[in-house]
Amino acid sequence: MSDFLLGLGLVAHLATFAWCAFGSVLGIILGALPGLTATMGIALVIPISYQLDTATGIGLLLSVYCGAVSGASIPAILLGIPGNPNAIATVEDGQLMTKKGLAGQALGGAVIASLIGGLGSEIFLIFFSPLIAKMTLAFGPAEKCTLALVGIVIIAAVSGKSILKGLLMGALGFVFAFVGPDPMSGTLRIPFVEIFRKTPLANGFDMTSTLIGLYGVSQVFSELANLRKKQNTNVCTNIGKVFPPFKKVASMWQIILSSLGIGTLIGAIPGTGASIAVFMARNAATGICSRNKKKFDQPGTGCLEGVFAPEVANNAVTGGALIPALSLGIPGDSATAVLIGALMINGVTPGYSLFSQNMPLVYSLFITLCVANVFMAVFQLAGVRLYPKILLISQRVLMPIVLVLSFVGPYALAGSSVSKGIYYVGTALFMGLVGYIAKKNEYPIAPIVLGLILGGMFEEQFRRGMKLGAGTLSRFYTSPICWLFIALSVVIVVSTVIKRKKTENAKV
Amino acid sequence: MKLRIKPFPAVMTVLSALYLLYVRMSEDTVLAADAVGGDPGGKILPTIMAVFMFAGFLYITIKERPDGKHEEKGTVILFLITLGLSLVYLFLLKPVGFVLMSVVLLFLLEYIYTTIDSPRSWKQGVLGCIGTTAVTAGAYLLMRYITKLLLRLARVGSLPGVFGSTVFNGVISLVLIAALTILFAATVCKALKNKGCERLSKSALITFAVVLALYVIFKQFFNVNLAPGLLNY
Repeated sequence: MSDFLLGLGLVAHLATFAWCAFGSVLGIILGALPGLTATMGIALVIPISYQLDTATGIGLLLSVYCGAVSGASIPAILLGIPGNPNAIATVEDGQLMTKKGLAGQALGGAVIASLIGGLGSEIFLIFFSPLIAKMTLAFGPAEKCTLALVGIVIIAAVSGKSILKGLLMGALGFVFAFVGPDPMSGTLRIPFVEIFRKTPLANGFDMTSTLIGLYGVSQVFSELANLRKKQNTNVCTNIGKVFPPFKKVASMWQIILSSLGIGTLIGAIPGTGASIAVFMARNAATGICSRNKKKFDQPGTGCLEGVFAPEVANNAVTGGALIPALSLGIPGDSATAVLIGALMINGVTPGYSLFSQNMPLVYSLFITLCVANVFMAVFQLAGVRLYPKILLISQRVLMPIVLVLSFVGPYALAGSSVSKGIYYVGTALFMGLVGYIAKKNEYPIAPIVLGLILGGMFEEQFRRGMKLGAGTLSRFYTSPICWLFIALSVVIVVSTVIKRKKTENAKV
Repeated sequence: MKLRIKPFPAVMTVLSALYLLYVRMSEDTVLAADAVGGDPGGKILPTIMAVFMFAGFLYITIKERPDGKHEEKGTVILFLITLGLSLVYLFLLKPVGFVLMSVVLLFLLEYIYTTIDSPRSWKQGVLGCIGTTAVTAGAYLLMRYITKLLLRLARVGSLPGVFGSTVFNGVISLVLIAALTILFAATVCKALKNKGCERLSKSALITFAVVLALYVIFKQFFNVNLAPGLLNY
């Protein structure tokens, strides 16, 4: 109880609430605007979160995350274009409701569903993450090393079309992580040591500049090809009544519970992602509606049931995805990969030590997540009539601002050193080019991020494991947990390859 | 002659080979004074990664063929302009300063991107850039003068101590920026719009507001040393 009160004390400041409110609004806008992503939003606010105290900084990051996931439903409903893949399943019923003149109810329903999904999954997060984190007590260097391998394999499997390309990008991330001092001996491992030993490169690539470069600068370069495309200005402005009837919402308890369960479970399984959860939730809702035809409308006909199911599920994924992210440091998608990086930059290292040594901070994280969800709902409902105007903001106006923000952010981390700041801007630009070239050639960039995050830990634990085994791999092959993780990695690789082969054959 | 291999995996294959060479040629980083032994050294994992990347990219280079898709010429030009301006920003940030360089970068990109499918006057763009830089620099100097004056008066006791606080000065600066932005929009931008230069006026207004707001947030609230450069006041 005292830990909870201490955690509450870390959050109970006007500044924390103000930054969470700012993060929610920013997240909603980023989620609503096609071309801007939750991942990019998290990367861009890292420099601001770094300047704040830890609890407030984490609150800001989580608010952007929750806001962006929920905000993606706005263009899905009003334009028929999802803000990100999480809102794909909302498009059909959302658009049909808009055409029926029920845009307000669809938007309001989506917000209420997102709030239920977000808060509901947080209960599971609070309950399960300490338990899973406790399991890691049994982990030695060999187990931690193979766990990092699982993380890389998962992110490689979920990002992009080819697992080989994902794994190669993960290896590139590892190579970036190896730049800098050797984790055991401290010897510098940089090219042209005599030239670079007195530069910030001697400490390796800066994580924040890398994240901002990969997700901010590269996004600007990638969007250049879309600037000539005509913007869809056919936005519905007749919002109408916003709140759906309470009786209707209450009657959908079965749909809500099934979507909440699906979203949280899918989110908690690393490598699955919200785009799977939303369709599974919608299918489950279709089944429930088919069995109760008198009580419910059928999803796909422009009804609230078809909006509620995917929206509860996609926000439930946020809480679910944080379970392995916080307890094991394994992300489920690119947004949580960047979020883990951002938490580490803010001094929060996921794993059992976080739960055993800093419970007040963990509670503050849970509380800020709750605040983030509430603010997301409040601001999304309050701004419901502004959305059509937000959707009209052109990419041509936004992209230069994103580029300048992507340069100012890394610079700001250097504090009083101008030269260091310029080095960080250079890193962001270089990583932006790397990310752009990779995306252009259909190579995913999320594995680079995770490789950079996990690379240092992977190497250190690998060498510790080898040392404990007197220079052999005995620590690895005598541990059942290591075997489990290696088997899991193999299963993921094999199942992904088989699944993609099947998809390719089906296309042919 | 048409290129029969994809350039990206081919280049990465070469880079992986070079990385492997670099790793093998660099000195080993085995833990010094290690009585127990068993440390495989800091070259083993980079070597494994280099070999894996070399093999993987080589396989893709052999297996995949170019799809014949090419970027539109206009997009390539936009990319080169954006990259060029970003490099200029990077190299001139220290000597010229954050405010001036950010105005140049943001204004030019706003102007170029928003006039992408309409006739663009380079003369208008350059003059607009110079004008926006001058107006923003003027507003910046005014803002600095006011906050410095408040600080001095608070320090000597002519004003209450709160006037000397960072947050108060930041808030004052934000209010001032908002007022100046409205004034700028109502005068210069309106005049430009009336003369048919709507894109120019919008680019100028966005640049003015964004650069000054970023300056206040990072410099006055978070105390980041944004390179002062030529405007060292």
